[in-house]
Amino acid sequence: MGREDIVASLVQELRRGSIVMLVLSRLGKPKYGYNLIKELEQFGIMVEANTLYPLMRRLESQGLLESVWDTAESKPRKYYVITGEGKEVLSAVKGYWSNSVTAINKLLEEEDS
Amino acid sequence: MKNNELIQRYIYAVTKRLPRKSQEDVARELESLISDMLEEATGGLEPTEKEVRVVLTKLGSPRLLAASYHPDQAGLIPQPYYNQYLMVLPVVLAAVSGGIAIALVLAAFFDGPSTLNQLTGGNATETAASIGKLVGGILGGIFEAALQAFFWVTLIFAIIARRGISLDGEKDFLDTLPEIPQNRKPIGKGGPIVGIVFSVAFSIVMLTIPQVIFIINTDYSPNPFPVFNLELMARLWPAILLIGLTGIISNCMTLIEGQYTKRLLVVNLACNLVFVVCAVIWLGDGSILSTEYREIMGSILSGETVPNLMMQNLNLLVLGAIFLGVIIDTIESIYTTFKK
Repeated sequence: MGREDIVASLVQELRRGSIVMLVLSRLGKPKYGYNLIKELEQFGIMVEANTLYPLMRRLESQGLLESVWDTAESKPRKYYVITGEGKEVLSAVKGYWSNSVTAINKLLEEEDS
Repeated sequence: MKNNELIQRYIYAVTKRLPRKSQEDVARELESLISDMLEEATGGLEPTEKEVRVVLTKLGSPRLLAASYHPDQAGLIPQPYYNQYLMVLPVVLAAVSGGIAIALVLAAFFDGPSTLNQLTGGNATETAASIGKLVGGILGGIFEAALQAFFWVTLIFAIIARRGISLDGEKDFLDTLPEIPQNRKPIGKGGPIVGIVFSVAFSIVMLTIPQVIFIINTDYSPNPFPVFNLELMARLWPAILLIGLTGIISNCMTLIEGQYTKRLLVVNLACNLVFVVCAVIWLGDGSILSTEYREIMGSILSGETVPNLMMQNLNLLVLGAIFLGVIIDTIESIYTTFKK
C-alpha cells in the first residue's frame, strides 16, 4: 500500500469513529437525511448518502433516534430526531470525546521526537 | 429506459435483498433521497437519463447498498458477503439434513423384518434400547452431515470474502437491474426448501442404497429383495443423478427469484424436460425391475389378471404418472406466470 492509501485508510478510521456522535448531535431538531448531509457538508464533514441513511435507520432501531414521515409537503420525507435515550448516550460519548481530544492533543503537541 | 423505470428497478433491486418488514419503508426513503439528489443535480429541471445514472451510480450497486443496511460483522465473513451467506446457509443445512435423515431412516429399515423384530420382539427394556440405538444412530448421522455442510459453506464464503471475489457484476449494475414483477405474489420459501430436501434424499437413496426399496413374500423366501435391478441402476447413475439435480436446480432458482417470473418459468420448463428424458432412460425399459421382484410379485398376484399386469409393468406406470405430473406442472406454471 502506498503512503496515500495508508493515510486515507487511517483518516477513514478516524471519521468512522466519530460519525455516530456527530449525527446524534445534529438531530436535536427533526431533520431528514439529505438535509443533514448538506448541513454536515457546510461544516466540512462529508458523509455519503449511502452511509448516512442506513446509519440513521440503525440508530433508530437502537432507540437513539425516532422517525416520522411528513406527508404534508409535496414530497413525502422521513424526519429523524434524537430520543431521550439518544440524548443520554450522546452526552456520555461527548464527555469521553472531549477528554480524549484534550489528552490526544497534548500528546501530539509533546511529540516524542 | 425511462428515468422513472430505471429508478424503480434500482430501488426494487435494493429492497428485495432486505427483510420484508423494512422493504416498503426503505423504498420510500430511497425514492425521496434520489429525488433530492436529482433536484440538486438538475437545479429543479427534469433530469436526463445520464443524470439519473450518475446519481444511482453514486449510491452504489444494489447489492452493496443493501448490505450496508445490515451492521458490519467484523468476523470471518464481512459484509457484503455475510448477507448472502445468511441466505445460503440455512437452505444448504436444511437440504443436507433432510436428505440424509430420509436416507438414514430408510437404510435403517432396509433389513425389513429383522429390524422390526428387533424393535418389537423382546421385552420393553430391549425394545427401548433398540429404538434408542436406532434413533441415536440416525440423529448422529444427521448431525455429522449438517456439521460438514456448515463447515464447507462457511469455508467457501470465507475464501470468497477474503479474495474479494465479486458475487455479481459490480460495474454495470445499472444495465442488469432485475425487472419489477407486476403484482406477483411472492413464492413462499417453505415449498422449494422441502423440494430440495426430497431431491437430495432421492439422489442419495437411489445412487447409494437403492436396495432400500424392497419387496418381500415370506412364502417365497424369508429375505427381502430389491425392486430395482441393482446392476442396471448402477449403470444408469448419470440419469438418476440428473433427476436429482434438476429438482435441486429448479427449486434453488425458485428460491432465488422469489416470484413467478418468466426467467423462472424457462428454468423450470428446462428442468422438467431434462427430468422427463432422464426418467424415460431410467424407467423406460422393463429390465429396470429385478427378476426377483417379478417372481415375487407374480407369486403374490398370480395369473394374467389386471393387477398382475400393472405391477409387472410398474416402471411404465410410474413413468406415466411422471408424464402426467410434469404436464400438469407445466400448464400450471405457464398459467401462473402469465396471468395478470
